Amino acid sequence: MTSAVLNLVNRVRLPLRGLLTAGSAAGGGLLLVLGSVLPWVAGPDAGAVTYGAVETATDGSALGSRAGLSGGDAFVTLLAGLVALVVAGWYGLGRARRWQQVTVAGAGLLALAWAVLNHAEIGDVAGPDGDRLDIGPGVGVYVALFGALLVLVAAGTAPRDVEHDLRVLARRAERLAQRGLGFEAIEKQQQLLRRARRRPGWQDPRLTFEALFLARLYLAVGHVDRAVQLVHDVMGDAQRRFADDEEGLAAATAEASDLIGEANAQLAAVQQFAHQQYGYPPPR
Amino acid sequence: MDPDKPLQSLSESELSSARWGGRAGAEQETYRREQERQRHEDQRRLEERQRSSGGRRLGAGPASGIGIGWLWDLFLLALPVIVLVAVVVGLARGTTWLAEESLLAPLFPAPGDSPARYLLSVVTLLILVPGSLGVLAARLQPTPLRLPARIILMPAAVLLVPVVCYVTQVTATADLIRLPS
Repeated sequence: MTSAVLNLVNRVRLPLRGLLTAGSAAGGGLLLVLGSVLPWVAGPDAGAVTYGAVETATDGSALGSRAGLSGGDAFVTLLAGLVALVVAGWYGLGRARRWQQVTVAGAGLLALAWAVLNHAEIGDVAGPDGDRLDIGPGVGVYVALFGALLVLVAAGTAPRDVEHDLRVLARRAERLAQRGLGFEAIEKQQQLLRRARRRPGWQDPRLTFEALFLARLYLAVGHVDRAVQLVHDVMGDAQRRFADDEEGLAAATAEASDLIGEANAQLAAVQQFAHQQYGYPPPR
Repeated sequence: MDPDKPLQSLSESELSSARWGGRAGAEQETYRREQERQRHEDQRRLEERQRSSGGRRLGAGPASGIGIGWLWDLFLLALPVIVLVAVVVGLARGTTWLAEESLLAPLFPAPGDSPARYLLSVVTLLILVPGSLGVLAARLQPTPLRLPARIILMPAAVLLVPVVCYVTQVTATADLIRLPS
């Protein structure tokens, strides 16, 4: 049953799912903001409630109700609502990264927990002489509860576009390489390849080019041996991976031979230097 | 030719004659310039390659959507700054101020609170204070600010965990009267 529902959800095209997620996150965020502003305390004695910390004339410090914005608890739901609104904007722009889902889920859970807590505890605290006020949760608590549930729906239906994360990593590695931060670029590119191992998997021809790009980054920082080893490993079973894509195989082979050529040039430069400076045998 | 002229400012032909004249350091300077040229060449080839075979990579194609990352960064920066200011001022003025008058006051547990509220307060504070600092530090990793993030923000986040736990313990056992609510 569950898997049938999941299959159905997965079969829906990404843009529609993204729209559903963005819509429920935005709606939930708006409801959370609205619920935070609305009164959290209702009942016959609602007017008699003291909010926050006060100084009493006789007994020193005293603490009143903490419900709603005037009490302060609603700051958490307000914050969660604003976070949900920002992330909803991201989903609306077509982004679907993993941290977005984690953030929405966290904001929803936190807001839900505070709203539930207030729903359960408003009116429970007795005064110093045991008197209680006749109050209960107000409309704001219910609106915030509903908003938090909507935000959780957004987290549940969030599209998981694994390749989006990979694309972002690839671009970041490229930008770092262009700025001359070779080792940082290598770190990102290695992270990308590690993550891509599960999905889309080594058989994806694009990963061949990602690995070759990593070899190029190795060359840029002078790790000739690593670059050559990597090219060797990647091109070892390239025939199988590019079985029905001759153009791709040609491009990969061209890139690989260019890399090897550059590695040779670097080694020759080192040998030349060793020959000139320290009298090692001249390069062949 | 002026033999005292620094090697870095020599032209190519002057450097070449200095090398033949056996001037000290001229070889190294030649090698350094060669390396410099090589680096520039590498950079150029890298960019050229990205234009040709880069079309087959995962990162190919224009970035999707409009960049609103700065909004998120602003939020991530504002949150820990506000929280840190509140905590530092609170530590200076005493925990009473922190638990009664600061912006974070409602998050600190008071005497007589239920265990559920105490737990939720501590979790929320841990997410807001060390959590936001940690996220900010992680966010700064690919930027030139990664070193300060690593040596200042991360230790600060770790140190704030016991501080938060201690302050919540203090406010939960403070001398405070609860009004009916």
